[in-house]
Amino acid sequence: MLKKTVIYALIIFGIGVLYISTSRDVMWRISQERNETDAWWGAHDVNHLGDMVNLAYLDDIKQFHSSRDYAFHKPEYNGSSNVNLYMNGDSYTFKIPDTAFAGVNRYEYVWIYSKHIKYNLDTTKKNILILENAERYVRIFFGGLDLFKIVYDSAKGPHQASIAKFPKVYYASFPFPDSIGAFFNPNINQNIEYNLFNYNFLNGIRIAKASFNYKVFNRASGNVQISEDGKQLFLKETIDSKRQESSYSPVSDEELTNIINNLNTIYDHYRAEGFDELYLAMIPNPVTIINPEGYNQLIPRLQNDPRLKIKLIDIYSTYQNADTVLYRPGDSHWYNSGMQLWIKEVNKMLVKWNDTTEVN
Amino acid sequence: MLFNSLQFLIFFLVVTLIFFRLRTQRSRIMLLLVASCYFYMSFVYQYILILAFTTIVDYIAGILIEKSEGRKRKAWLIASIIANVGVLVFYKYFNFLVDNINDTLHLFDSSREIPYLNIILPIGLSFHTFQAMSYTIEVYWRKQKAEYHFPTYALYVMFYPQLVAGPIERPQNILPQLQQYKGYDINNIREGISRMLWGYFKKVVIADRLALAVDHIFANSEQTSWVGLCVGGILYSFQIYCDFSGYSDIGIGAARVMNIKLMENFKQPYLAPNITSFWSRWHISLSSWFRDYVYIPLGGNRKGETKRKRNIFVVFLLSGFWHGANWTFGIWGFLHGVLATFLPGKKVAPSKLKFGRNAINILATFCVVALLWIFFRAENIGHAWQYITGIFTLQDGSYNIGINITELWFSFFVIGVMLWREYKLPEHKINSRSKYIVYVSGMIAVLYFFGVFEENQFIYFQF
Repeated sequence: MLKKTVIYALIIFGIGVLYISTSRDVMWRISQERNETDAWWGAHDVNHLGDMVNLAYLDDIKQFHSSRDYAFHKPEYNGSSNVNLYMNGDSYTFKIPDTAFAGVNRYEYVWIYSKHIKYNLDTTKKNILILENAERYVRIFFGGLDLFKIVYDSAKGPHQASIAKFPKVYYASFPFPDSIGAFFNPNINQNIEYNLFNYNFLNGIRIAKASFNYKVFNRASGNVQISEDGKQLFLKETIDSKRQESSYSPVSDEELTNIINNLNTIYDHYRAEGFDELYLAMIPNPVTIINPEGYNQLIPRLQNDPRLKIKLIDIYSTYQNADTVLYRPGDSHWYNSGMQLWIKEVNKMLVKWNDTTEVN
Repeated sequence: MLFNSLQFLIFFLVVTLIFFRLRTQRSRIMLLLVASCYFYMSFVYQYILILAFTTIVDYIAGILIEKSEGRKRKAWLIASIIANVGVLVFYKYFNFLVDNINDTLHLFDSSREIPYLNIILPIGLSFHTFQAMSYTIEVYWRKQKAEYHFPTYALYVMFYPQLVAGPIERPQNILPQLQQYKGYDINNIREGISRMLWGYFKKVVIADRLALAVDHIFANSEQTSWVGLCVGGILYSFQIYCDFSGYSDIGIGAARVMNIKLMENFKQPYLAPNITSFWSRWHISLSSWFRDYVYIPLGGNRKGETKRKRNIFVVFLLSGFWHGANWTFGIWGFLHGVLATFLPGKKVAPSKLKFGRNAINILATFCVVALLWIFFRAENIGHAWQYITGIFTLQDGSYNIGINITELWFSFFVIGVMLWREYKLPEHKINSRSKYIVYVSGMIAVLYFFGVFEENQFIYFQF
C-alpha cells in the first residue's frame, strides 16, 4: 500500500512539476511570490544578487541589492501631456513606471519579444513608439528572423508586400495552431530548476561548486566570464567574438545595410500605421562601455548612418562620457544611475514633443 | 528534450512509473507512443509531421510488401525507400547540393544562382529514417513479418530512448519486445539506472568538460601551437566518444529499466588494435546497418577483390555523408575507406584482446583515428587542412587551450578512469543493495560537483 502511495505521489509530483514549469502564467505568478520572500521556500536571491551572479554563483562578486535600488522620480515638468508613449522594450525597461516619463498622457509597455503586438492609437495625441533593445540582441533581432514576426503580426494591407523579403523558416509554415506551442515552453528546464532547486537554503551548495570551479579551474560556471580584475561579470555571449551578441565580433557593411534596411522597413510600417515618430534605443552591452578596446562600433555606426530613418535615443554617447558606475558588477543590467541617464534622454525627447509641434 | 536535462529526468520518472502501473501491453504501447511523441515534439514540435509521414508510409509499405509478390513487392519497397530517402535528401542534402551546383556555375563565370531553402534539419532524421528502412527491407527479405498494429509499429520507429541518436535498431530485436512485455524486474531497473548514470558521467563530466577546450582550440587553430593542436585532436576524440556513447548508455539504460533490451552501440573502440576492429566497436548499429543493407547486397566480399574494395569504399563514403552534408564528412569517410581497404587487420573481440601485447597497435590505431576526427570536427576542408598542417609543421603559437592546466590534467584523469572502468568492468550489474545505493549516491554527487552544465547538445543530434 505504502509503495503504491509513493508511486502515485511521485507521478502526481512529476506531472505537476512539468505542468507548472511549462505554464508561463503559473510561473509568472510563482516567481512574483517567491522572488520577494525571505521564507525558506523563497528565491529571494535570484532577484537581488543579479542575474549573472545567479548564473555564476561566485561568492566574491556577490553584491546584494534590492529591487528598490531603482528609484523612479517624478520628472520636473509641468507642461502639457500631449504624448502617448508606447515602449516596445526588454528587461531593461519593463520595470519603469509611467510616472517616470515627462508629459505622458498614456503609457503602454509591450515586451519586445511578444509575438502579437497590437497598439491602440489615440489620434488626438502624439503617438510615439520607442523600440528599446539591449545591444547584444540588436543584430539578431533587427537583422533576421524575429523581425519577420513583428512586421508580419501587425502588418496590414499595402505593407504585406514588404514581408516577403524576410527569411522564413520552413517548419514555421506547418499548419499547427499556436496553442500547441504552449505545451512546449523553451524555458522549461530553467523553470524546472527554479521550481526544484532554486531556494535560498540551497544556495550554499551552488556557491560551493562555483567556488571550487573558480579556485581550481579558474572559470565561472554558466555563461559568464569574469573580468581580468575579477571584479565584474560579463555575459560570455557579449565577449565571444564568434557570436553576434558580442561587442567584439566584426560587423560587415553588408550586415549593417541589412539592419538599416530592416529598421527602415519597420519605421515606414509603423509610421503608416499612424505613429507620429519612432525612436530606437540601443542599451550598450556593459563590456562595450567598460572595455571599449576592440569594440565593433555597432551602435555608433548605426547611429551615425545617414540612411537610417528611425530617430535615436542616444545613450551610448552619454554613457561614454559618464563619470559614474553604470552597470552592476554581477548583473547584465544597469544600476539606477545608468537607468536615470537613459530616462533623462527619453524625457528630453518627450518634452520637445509636448512643447513643439515639429521635432527634428 | 535533451537526455542531460531536468525535463528529461522528470519525464522519464513519470513515464516509467505509469508504465509499471499499467496492466495491458496495448496500454503500455500507447503510453510509450504518446510519451515518445511528446519527447520528439519538445525539440521542434512541427517536425512530428515529417516523422508521422515516414512512419505511415513505411507502415503501409510493410503490409503491402508482405501481401504482394514479384515485381509489385519490389515496387512497394522502392516506393518506401524513395519516400524515406526523399525526406532525408530534401532536409539534409538539398542546400548542400545547391551549394555545389552554385560553386560549379561560378567556375564557369555564370552569374546564375539557385536559391537556398531556409530549412532546419529535423532532429535525429538520419537515425529514424534508417531504422524505418531497416523494417521494410527486412519485410521484403521475409526475415520479418509486417506489423499490423499501427501503434506498435509507430513505437518501433519512435521509441524515445533511441529515437534521436540511436542505436539504430532492427525490427527483429525491438518488435518482439514491444509485443510481449517481459515484466517488472528489479535487476533490470538497477542495471538500467546505473547504466544511465554512467552515460551521464561520460557526457557531463568528460565530454562537456572537453568541449570547453576543444571548442576553443578549433576556433583558434591558426593561433594555437602544434602542441595545443595535438591536445585538441586527442581531446576531441574522447569528447565525441563520451558524448555519443554516453548518449547510447543513457538510452540503453532507460530502455533497460522498462525491461527492453536495445543493441549495444560501442565496445571500447579506442582499444581497437586496427581499423577493422575499430569499426566493429564504433557506432555498431550504423556499421552493421551499412554492412547488412549496402555492403552485402552489393556483393560483399563474394565477387572478387576489386569489387570487395569498391564495396568498402562505397560503404565508407556513404557512411561519411550520412553524418552530414559537408565535404569534410565525405573526406573522413573516404580516408577511413582507404584504411579499411589497405590496412584492415583482423577483427579482435574486446574479450579476446591482450592489452599489453597490442599496446603499440592500439596506440597507432588511436592516433590515426584521432587525426581523421579532425576532418569530422573542422568547419570545412580548408580548416581541417590548416589544422593538420599546423600539427605537422610544428606551428608556433599560443598554449592557451581554453582550460587551465589543472583542468587539463583532471580531464586526462577522468578519461583514464573511464577507459579503465570500461575495460575492467564493462557490465553495469551491481548485485549488492548497499553497494548499489553507495554507487548511485556517489555518482549523483560526482555528477553535480564535477559536471559541466552548459546546455550542450549531444554532437550526434545534428545527424
